[in-house]
Amino acid sequence: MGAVVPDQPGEGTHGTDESRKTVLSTTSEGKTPPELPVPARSDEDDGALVARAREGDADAWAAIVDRHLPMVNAIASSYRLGSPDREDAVQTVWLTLNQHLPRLHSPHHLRHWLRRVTRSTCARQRRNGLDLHPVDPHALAARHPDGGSEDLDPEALYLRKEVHEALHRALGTLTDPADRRAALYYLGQAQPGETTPVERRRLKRRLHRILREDR
Amino acid sequence: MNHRSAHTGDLRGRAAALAAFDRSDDLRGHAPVAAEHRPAPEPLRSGGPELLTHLRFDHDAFTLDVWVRAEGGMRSLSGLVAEEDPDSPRARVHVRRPDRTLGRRVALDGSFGVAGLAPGPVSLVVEHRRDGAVATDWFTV
Repeated sequence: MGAVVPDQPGEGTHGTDESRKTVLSTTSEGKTPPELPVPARSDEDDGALVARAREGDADAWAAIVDRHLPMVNAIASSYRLGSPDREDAVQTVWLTLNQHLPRLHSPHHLRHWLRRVTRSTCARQRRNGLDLHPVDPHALAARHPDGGSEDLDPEALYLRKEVHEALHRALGTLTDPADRRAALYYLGQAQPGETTPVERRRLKRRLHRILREDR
Repeated sequence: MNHRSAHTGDLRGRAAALAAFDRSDDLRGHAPVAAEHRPAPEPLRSGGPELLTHLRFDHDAFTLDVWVRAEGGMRSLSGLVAEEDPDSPRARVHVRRPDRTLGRRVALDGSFGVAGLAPGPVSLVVEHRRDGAVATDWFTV
């Protein structure tokens, strides 16, 4: 924007390669670009700098940036965003300040305004990041096609319920209570009093007898 | 508060911050974010783009709804301009990035779309032949 980036609604950029990373946010992690001059100190207060920047004074804007950028970076770093996300958030803060500059109610409270905007921008950026999880492709290949475990598949749950109901209908047709207890034991649904070793052996014998008779 | 200390802090992103200075927005109207809705993630039913967020921007003359979707590493925007006066529809939307601007024609039903955007800051400028341009807040996609 400004002198560096064409931001006017000129249509000459249509069809450009959008996959290229945002040019202005590609500064190396932890390094100040070597071509940048050492920021100059300014003794003016924020109100005066904002007033000058509103008139189009780029030096005043640079003084605002140099004064508050460390604070904005510190807040953004505290959100533990990835490097590109943090750069995007910080860049969005300055673009927002540029846009809101004529409408700032209390320019002398610029630091507080920037702190609030940085926090909300970083929080939004972090929420964006939470929606997108990098996944190991091998884990995806081994995953159930429906995206969840088989136990949670609604169709599997429904079929399991149908089988359960059909078995219990069949158990209801058994007239001998001993046969019914043996069948319940076979299904793993024995009563607590029927799980002693002696009772289990008795139920197993009963089961074998039922199976032999059915053959 | 004393701001007159030496600049010894973290100045990463200084070039981008300096480049953000542009007074052309001062002549435009402003459409702030009025609402933001983030749908709960749902199981993917197809390989289509995943809806990340829905933003609504309000202005006196129109309401702008924007849906941001993710597909692979890229983002797409689809929008709908709802006019207060349906007889004077908006003509164009400019999708502003920090380093470029993409123009899109608004369809007669008020819809528009942009695909293949790299993640980063975005602002929209809704243009009208008669009323001039209105810029939305900057937001990240």
